[in-house]
Amino acid sequence: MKTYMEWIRTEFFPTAFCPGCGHGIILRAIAKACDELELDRDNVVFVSGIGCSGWIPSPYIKADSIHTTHGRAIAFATGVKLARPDFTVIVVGGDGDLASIGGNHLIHAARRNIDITCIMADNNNYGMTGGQYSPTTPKGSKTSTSRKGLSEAPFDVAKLVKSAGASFVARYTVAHFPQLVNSIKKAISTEGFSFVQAISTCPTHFGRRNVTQDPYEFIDYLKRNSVNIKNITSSAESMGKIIIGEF
Amino acid sequence: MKKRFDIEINHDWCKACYICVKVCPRSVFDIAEKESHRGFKEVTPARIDDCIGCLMCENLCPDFAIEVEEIENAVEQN
Repeated sequence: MKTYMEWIRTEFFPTAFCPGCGHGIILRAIAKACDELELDRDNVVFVSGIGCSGWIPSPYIKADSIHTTHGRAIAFATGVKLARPDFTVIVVGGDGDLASIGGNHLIHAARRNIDITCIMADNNNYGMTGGQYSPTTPKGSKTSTSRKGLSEAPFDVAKLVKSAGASFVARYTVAHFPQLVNSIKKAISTEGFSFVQAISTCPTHFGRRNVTQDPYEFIDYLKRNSVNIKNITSSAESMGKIIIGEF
Repeated sequence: MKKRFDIEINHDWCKACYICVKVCPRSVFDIAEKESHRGFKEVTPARIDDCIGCLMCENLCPDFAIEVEEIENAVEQN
C-alpha cells in the first residue's frame, strides 16, 4: 500500500463521484502532497463548501474537516486560522462554490493574504445540480442553462486571485498529475494566501455536452488543449487554450 | 535487468471508466467479457510483463482502484 493512502478514509469507498470524474485524481494529488510534505495529520484542517468538490476532503481525507455552507468555505477557514494560527488550513472548493457564490470571500482572502491554501477543483459547471453554467464555463459552451451556447466570457480565476494579492497562484489540469502535486506542495509551503486551480473533468455533464463523454478522451483533450505559461511567446498561441503553470 | 511489476485491481472500488486501459502506453490492460459482482466489465492486467511502472494508470485512476508495485528481487524469483 502506498504511504499516501494513510491520508484516505477508505472505509467510505467507493467514492460518490461519477465514473471517470477528475475529482478523484485531485483527491489523490492532495493526499500525495500532504504525505510528501510529512504534515502532522492532527495539525491540518480541511474546509470545504457544497458541491461535488465538497466531497473531496469530507469525508475522504483522514484529517479534521469542516463541511460548510455553500460558498463560505474561505470564511470558515479564516476563522480556523485566526483561532489556531499554528494549523495548516486547506480549503477545497469548486468553481461555483469559490468563484461564484464565494467570489467575494476568495478575492478578500487574497487581498488580506491570509495564510491558507485554497484548491479549486474546477469542472467548468455545477456538476451536482445538473450541469448549470458557472463563472469559469468557457464562452460558447452548451450547458443545461445555456442550451444554444454560453454568450458570457468566463473569469480567469488564477489571474483574478493573483491581482487581488495572493502569494502563490498556479493552474494545472488533472492530466498534469505530477505538476499538480508539486504545485499543491508549493502552495501549502508558501506563507500567505496560496491558490491552486485544478481543472477537472466532468464527463457526466460538461463533457457530454461539449467535449466527450469518454473520461480518457476528456483527460487527453485537457492535455492537448493546454499550454504552459513559460512557452507562450505570442497571444495567438494561447487563444482558446487552457494556460497552465505558476502565475 | 528488467524491472517487474505487480498490478492489483480492487474491483470493489472500480467504476469501469477505463481511463487506465486507454492511458497505458504499453496496452497492459484488457477489458474482460466477464462482469464483476457490481455489474461492470472487469479490467484485467492481461499483459503484465509489458508493464514499465510509469504509474500513469495508478495516478489517473479517480477511484484508487489500481496499485502498481515493483517486485523486488524479480530475477531470483524466476
